[in-house]
Amino acid sequence: MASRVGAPAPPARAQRAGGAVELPQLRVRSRAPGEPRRVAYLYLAPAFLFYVVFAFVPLAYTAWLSFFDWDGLTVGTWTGLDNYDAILSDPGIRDSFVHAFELIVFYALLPVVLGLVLAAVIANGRVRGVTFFRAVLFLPQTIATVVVAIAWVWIYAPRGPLNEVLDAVGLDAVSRGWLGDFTYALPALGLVGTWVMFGLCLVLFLAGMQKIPQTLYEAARVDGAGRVREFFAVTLPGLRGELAVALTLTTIMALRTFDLIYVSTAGGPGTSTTVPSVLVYQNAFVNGRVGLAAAVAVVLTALIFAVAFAITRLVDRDPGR
Amino acid sequence: MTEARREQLLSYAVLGVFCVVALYPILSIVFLAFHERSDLVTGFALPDSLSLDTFRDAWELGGFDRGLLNSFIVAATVSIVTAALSTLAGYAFGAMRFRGSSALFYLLLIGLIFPYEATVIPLYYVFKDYGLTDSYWALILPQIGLSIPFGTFWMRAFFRSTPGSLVEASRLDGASSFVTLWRVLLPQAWPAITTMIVLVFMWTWNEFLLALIMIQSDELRTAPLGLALFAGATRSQDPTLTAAAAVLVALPIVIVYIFLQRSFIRGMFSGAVKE
Amino acid sequence: MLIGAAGCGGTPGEEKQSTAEKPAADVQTDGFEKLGPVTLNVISGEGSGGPREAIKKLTEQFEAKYPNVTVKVGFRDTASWFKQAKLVAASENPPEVFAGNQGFQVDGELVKAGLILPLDEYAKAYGWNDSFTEETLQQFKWSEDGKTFGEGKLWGVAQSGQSTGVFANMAKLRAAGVDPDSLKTFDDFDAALAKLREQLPEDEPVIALGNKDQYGAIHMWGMVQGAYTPAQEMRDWIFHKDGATFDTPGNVKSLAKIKEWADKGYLGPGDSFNARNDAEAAEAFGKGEGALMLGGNWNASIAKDGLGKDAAFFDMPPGESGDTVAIGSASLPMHISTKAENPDLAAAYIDFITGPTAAPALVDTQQVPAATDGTAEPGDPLGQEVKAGWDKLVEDGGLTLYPDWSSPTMLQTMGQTFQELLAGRIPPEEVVSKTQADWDKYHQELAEG
Repeated sequence: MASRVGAPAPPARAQRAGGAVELPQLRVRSRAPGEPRRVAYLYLAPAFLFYVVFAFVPLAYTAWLSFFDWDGLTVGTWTGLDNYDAILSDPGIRDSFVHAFELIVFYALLPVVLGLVLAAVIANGRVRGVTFFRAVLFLPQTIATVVVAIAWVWIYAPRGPLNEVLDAVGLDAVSRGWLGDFTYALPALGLVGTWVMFGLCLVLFLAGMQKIPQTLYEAARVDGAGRVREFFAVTLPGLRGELAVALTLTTIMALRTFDLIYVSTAGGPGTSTTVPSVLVYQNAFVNGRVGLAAAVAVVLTALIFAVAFAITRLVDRDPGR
Repeated sequence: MTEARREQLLSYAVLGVFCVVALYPILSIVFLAFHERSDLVTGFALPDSLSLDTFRDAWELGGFDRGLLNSFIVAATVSIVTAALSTLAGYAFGAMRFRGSSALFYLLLIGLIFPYEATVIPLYYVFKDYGLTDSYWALILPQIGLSIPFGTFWMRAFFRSTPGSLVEASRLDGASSFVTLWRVLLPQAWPAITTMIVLVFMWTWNEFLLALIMIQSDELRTAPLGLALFAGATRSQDPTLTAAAAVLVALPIVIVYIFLQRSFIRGMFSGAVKE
Repeated sequence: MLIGAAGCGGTPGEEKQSTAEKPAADVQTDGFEKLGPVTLNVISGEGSGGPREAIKKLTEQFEAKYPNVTVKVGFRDTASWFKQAKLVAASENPPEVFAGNQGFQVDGELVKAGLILPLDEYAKAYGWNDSFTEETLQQFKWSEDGKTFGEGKLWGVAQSGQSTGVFANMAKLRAAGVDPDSLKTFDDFDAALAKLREQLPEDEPVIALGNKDQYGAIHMWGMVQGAYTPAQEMRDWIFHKDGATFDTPGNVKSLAKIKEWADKGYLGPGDSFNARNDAEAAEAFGKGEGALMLGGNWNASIAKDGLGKDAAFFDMPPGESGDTVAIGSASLPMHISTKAENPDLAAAYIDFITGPTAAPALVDTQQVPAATDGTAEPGDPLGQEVKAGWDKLVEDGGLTLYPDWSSPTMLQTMGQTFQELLAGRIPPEEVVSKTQADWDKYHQELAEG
């Protein structure tokens, strides 16, 4: 049931041609509108070549490296599963995965909720200038993460705008060097993620809402449903596909995040904002423990695949659309 | 005031608040950049004058002319090659049938969530062996590889949405698959292709981890990488300078976005979610 | 080749080629005009304050001496440079001259991987063995396998002597009735801190500290450690002498002492010192925040520029031993890449910025030249105090060097545990045990060969 929304309209000429032509004798084809198989592979080949060579081959290589103890400069030694042992036993490494999952709340759950709320507001509130609001709220997505990090380091600075606002409203007991605080640095960075992601979710849901047939809303109203009931009964189920996409994309961003952390806190203070991708970089290129870094990378990738699969299964129960 | 009117105002208010939230960090760094370098800026201070001195200084001191050029070369190459290869592959997925199409498609889907962290380590060492670190290739080749899944997915969605009758008609006219693509479908595909090019360009421009690892020389640094190093070195002495540099690096994409935001957003997910 | 290794099921990496040494006769120390137009790429790991200014000035002078040579200097902030140095050194086109860091994190790895040239022949040609003391040169000596530190060939030389001590904002000390001359012992200093705490407003720290890059607190602690521990103990531990240990009562006491300072609010409200780094704290101190700054003399010019006549410097007063002990060493060594096309020119540049010719530029930026045969004397009071501080430490044999030199991961280990200590999350004993565990692990790796 593919929707036509957003797809360019086919020109009239072809439609007429497609509809009116008288079919001459053709070889009977069992596949339609089938090109001979081989040609398709030719079209696929260059793309898949790049993809496999620069994605899967390195992934396999990373997995192979994870079984070694190597400093990247001299010869490495085989250590079997020792690196994976270290991941399980070292509290610092375990914590980094915990931090990544904590970030999911900020990067994925909050933005999805905000996106739903804002999309509902726009759809129901009969506001004009939707294009303007959408453009502004999506803007954070277009800013390079390095710039985002620099901007927010400034905002969270001991004498930065956030503390200034807090002091002004009398909350100066709360103001502090946010990114230097063991408890608050990670949530502070998480909120930056929320800021970046909520526009993405909003746009996704707005597009999705457009596709929900008006008839469903009318039917719900006839049944006496109020605004809220409408939302939960019609809108939310209709957005299932978009929800899956939004949750998947944002959750993976949470698990993968590197730029923001590296540029703002480099994983500190202590290890309170260290996440797996930072560990990969640190161990591979700073500490000279390439095998360990590779193992962390493998575990991270496996987690990402698992989470994406789980979300799709759970949320989008109709994958055959 | 009627219920509806009140609701409308409330909606505007809520949206307004979130717009402020979205813009505030951006504006605070822009204002910071406009301050004189010697100002001791605290908080969200409006600058007294709109001097462009810090921008000029940042440009000169940070070597951002090279940085922006490098970013442009890499992003343009990646997006154009990706567009070409993805169109071909998307055409195959979207308009042809062949054995293994489902399996190959799922393989491709994995690419949409593939993290760079999984590949950077060996990519670095292999490129190093070939003497290709500190070169454009080190940035271009891997990013083509990891942009192709999205591009192919995108073009597949487009090709699937074109009526089968179109392709039929062309075949009946005796056209080869390539001619069908080139003459019949491509003219309609341009909006989808250009949107894809812009998106891939943006993501490539903003890529940081790969550049951090592959590029060590000053000459070949991309803009985000140059910015991170510049910020590290000058942040303490000169927050205004750092802010100016940040604005310079973010500006090109923001400008492109402002002009193209309609097609940017409108096309972006309607196609993706159809599947 | 790595791919081949994978294919054969081999191991990653390869043996390094040994670096051939230049015979003394081939070393060229002048006449570089004949090279024609040539570019020298340099990276300095001290991108702020006095060291930055000094290198800029000296580079200009070098270019004036050899007009055909263009020197391109890149500046990096120290903490991130320590992380990037190896990658840059191993890249396709590394700079000819770049800074390293003494110890096993950077220099040891650079030597082990064969990325820098041994400089013994240049030392003979330029007389470095006479210009620098043996204690200084020892910091740059390594065996070729990068395992033995302090002996073997010479791999770099440095510009200045860097010690850590107490910077004071004299206006604030006077307002609180604290006279530095009256502080004869560490206990006197400790008492003075309490006086300053009473005098200053609540949200202003007594000691301006910036620990975001995780080394500011270590430097501050080093001079406190000096009141409880002899310097030789630390040096033995850094050089990995068998039987050396970090687990001593003196270390536990000194860690407890800085924790006490944090608890008493001397370091400022909450954990704000973790939100800014060393250079930012120095800038803030220079602009009048805090009464004292316990850190390195590389920040002297920032203090002077900001506080003018009110800037003062003195060593931390000694503990029971009566010896002045603090963290200090030569500054970051400059190395020559093995891929340098003109190593002789690179060596000439290094000699220019570290030798006697460099003394005036260094002294003008309140630094202490490492070369002992320069004739420039510091002209301003702060520069004199910095030099006096350094001289006293040398005299008392009190330079402990830097504890993070002792393993490739030590800076990270100590940096993180110190942050957690000051935040009250772990006790001093845990800092000690984690530090010693890191040392033990690396000690074993070194022994295994």
